[in-house]
Amino acid sequence: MPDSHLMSTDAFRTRNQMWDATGMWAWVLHRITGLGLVFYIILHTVLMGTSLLSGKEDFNETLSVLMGHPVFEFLDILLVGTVLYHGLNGIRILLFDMGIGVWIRTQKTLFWMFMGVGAILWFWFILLKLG
Amino acid sequence: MHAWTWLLQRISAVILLIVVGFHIGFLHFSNTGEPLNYGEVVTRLKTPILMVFDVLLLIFGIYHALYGVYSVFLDFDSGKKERVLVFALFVAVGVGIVGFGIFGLLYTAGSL
Repeated sequence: MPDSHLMSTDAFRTRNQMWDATGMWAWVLHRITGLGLVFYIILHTVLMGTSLLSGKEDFNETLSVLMGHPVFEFLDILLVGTVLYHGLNGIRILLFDMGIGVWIRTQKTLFWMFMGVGAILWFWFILLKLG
Repeated sequence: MHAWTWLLQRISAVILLIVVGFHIGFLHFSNTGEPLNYGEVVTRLKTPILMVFDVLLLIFGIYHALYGVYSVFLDFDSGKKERVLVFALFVAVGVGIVGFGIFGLLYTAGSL
């Protein structure tokens, strides 16, 4: 069916071509992290709002779990990784929209440069958090 | 209309890069590693600039989030009627969440 689905696995002749489609994977991950962050920001707003409104004791009890329990410490690290990916890849998209570095090889280089920066920032965050 | 909402998605992205960076950095590294307590939150929210940052984060964060979901919806085939309906629904949800959030912040700061 020759419709608007430009990207399908049929477009790749070899497995390597598919795995080398950096932009496609960047897009997929941008969408997954984005939807995860939508879920988080709504939950975060509602949870912080309701626990602040229910007063001092409830809020302190909630926060001692959220900022104390190992599971939430792990989720916090995961959250920051998600934000870093979405934010840094987002900068690449903004640059692309402004016409900066639109050549495909520049795009790939930019992507991996941002991922390098993200990895360093994430590692730094984990060290600060655990240290 | 789509062009404006699309542009606002980019503008909110730039604002969020700054505000979210500050929000995460400030919350994690300005207290002593103890869980945040209610009194601290009240003190912070009585500081005008921190209140402004939280409100900006709410407005642009919720806009960016909901428009993101809306653009996922746009990637599927839909009729004009459906699009208008879904858009209106998202506006209602967004206004509700932002309104609730701002109310919570102002109430906690003792401004209401």
